[in-house]
Amino acid sequence: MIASPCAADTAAHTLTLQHITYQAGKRQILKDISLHVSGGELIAIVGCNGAGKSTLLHVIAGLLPVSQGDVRLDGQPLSHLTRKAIARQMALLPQQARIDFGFQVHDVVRMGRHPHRGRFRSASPHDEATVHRAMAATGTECLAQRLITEVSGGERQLILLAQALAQEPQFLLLDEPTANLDIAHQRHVMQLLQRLARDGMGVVAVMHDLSMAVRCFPRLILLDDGVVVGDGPPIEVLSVETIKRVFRVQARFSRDQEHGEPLLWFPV
Amino acid sequence: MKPQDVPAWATVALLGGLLGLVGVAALAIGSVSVPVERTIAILLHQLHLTEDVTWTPMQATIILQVRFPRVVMAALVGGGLALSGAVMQGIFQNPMADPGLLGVSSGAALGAVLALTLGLAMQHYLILPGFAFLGGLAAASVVYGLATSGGKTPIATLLLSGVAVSSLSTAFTSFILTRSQYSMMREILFWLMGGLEASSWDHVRLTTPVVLLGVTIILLFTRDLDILLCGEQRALTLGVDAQWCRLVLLTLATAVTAVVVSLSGTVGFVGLIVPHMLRLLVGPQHHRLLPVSFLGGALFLILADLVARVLARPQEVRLGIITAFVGVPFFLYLLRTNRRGLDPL
Repeated sequence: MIASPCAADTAAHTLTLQHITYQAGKRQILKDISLHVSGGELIAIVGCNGAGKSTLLHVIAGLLPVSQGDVRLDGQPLSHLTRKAIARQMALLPQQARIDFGFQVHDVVRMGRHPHRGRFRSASPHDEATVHRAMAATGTECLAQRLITEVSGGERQLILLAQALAQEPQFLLLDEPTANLDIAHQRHVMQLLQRLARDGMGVVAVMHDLSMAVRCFPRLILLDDGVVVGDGPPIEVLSVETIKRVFRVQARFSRDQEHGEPLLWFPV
Repeated sequence: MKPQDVPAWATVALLGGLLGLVGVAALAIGSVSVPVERTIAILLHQLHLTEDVTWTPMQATIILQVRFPRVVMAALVGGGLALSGAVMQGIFQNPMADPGLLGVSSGAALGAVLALTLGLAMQHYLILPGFAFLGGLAAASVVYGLATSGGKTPIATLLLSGVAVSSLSTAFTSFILTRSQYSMMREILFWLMGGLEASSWDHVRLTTPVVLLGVTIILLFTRDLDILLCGEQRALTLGVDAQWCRLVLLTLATAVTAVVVSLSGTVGFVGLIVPHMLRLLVGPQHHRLLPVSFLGGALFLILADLVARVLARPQEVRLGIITAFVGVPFFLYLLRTNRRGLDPL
């Protein structure tokens, strides 16, 4: 509902990575990565620690300079766009984002309107309505008057998600959005991401929880040492053999008895 | 009632009113007391609002040429330091940051001490503040240059180079101090302890444009400062060019600090306590915090200077001593009650 494209805007938005290579010092972190993401897709990036998942997310967000290739938003290279122009189309929720100053929750979410506002323009009724919708979508309206420093970790994650939604982005990037959350908050976040994708937003999340990735994401991208080694539906990308090869863990699949959902688990 | 429930205009109006009252009181009180109604009459006469002259020429001179510029300077110095402190705390995401963080205070001190010890300070009344200003800016530029590599200036590196360069300039200052004649040593120590007794309208004319211009431009960046508190990655993806914003704001806050410190000497703790106290009152949003900090800093320093003048009449106590007497207990109170603010991560 937040991302519902306006009537004239029928063509799906696209995010394209062409032959991206990223180097930190002499070490190549990402090697020749090409990807295509359309509006409405719900994608999880998975892989071992240090495989380059967060780096890939940051490269997509334009936070890191690539040594080769480019990232394009609707065909436009990011390097041709201003920070504000990028922020109007793409939002990033970093891992364990936090704010140490006692802003009111409502004011934190309103910061999401920044890329749509001029330096001298105060918040318009449209801004306020968008902020309100973002808080409604994340179920954080009841926290509006609280201080961001006084809410729980799960609530904070939802508030920062609301801030990202207030940007009205076409693409939402999240770095481990469900880490450190209890299962109720995990479920809340996942349902919200699924709904956003259904409404046309492109959602790309780095996920450590393979079981959740397999259950909730229609498309997985598997990174191994900076290379995309799998891209497609979860069952194809994460076969028992691939998990053994990439993660060096003997995993097993079983079926949920009631719903028939695939369950990924590994004996400890 | 939460801090944010108090309307911003109410706080501004309250502080503005207090500033007027305290300003008039600071004009009336001193080694020669002038009754308040006569002080007001002198001011009104100056504005051509009254024609009757009920005071002696000496009283008029004391009020208009000695105390008035001094009170205005106190307001500019206090306001400038408090606002710069609030900006630094925002940029460094740390409520313990102060305007001297980039080495500007210790650099200014070294510049001033050089001017004094080389005997240049006597030649023109602007040479001492000029040296102090250049010393402060030089130190801050060295700090920023040291912390920058490959177009990036990490906050932690900036903080550490600030500490290093400050210590180095302080060591130089101490070295010069130990090599000085007794009379020179006394003069240097006096400058280092801060004071406004030399303030004249010339100083006010020099300081006002810099402080007002700096403050005005800083006030255009209030929303960016709010967003910088969400962390660098989030700020960038919200469309705030963090590096550029920081450079602009650090430059302005440092220039304002260098100007006021060059005329007042080292006046500690104003930039730390005033914004911190007011943040408890109006919340962290910079469009409220910054104007209120400026007014609060001005109010605080006029009061501190008044205390410095009257505490040990007819002698003056150094201003830096007064602000430290108030500032240190407050700092310790923060240490005890607000540990989270001290280590943001």
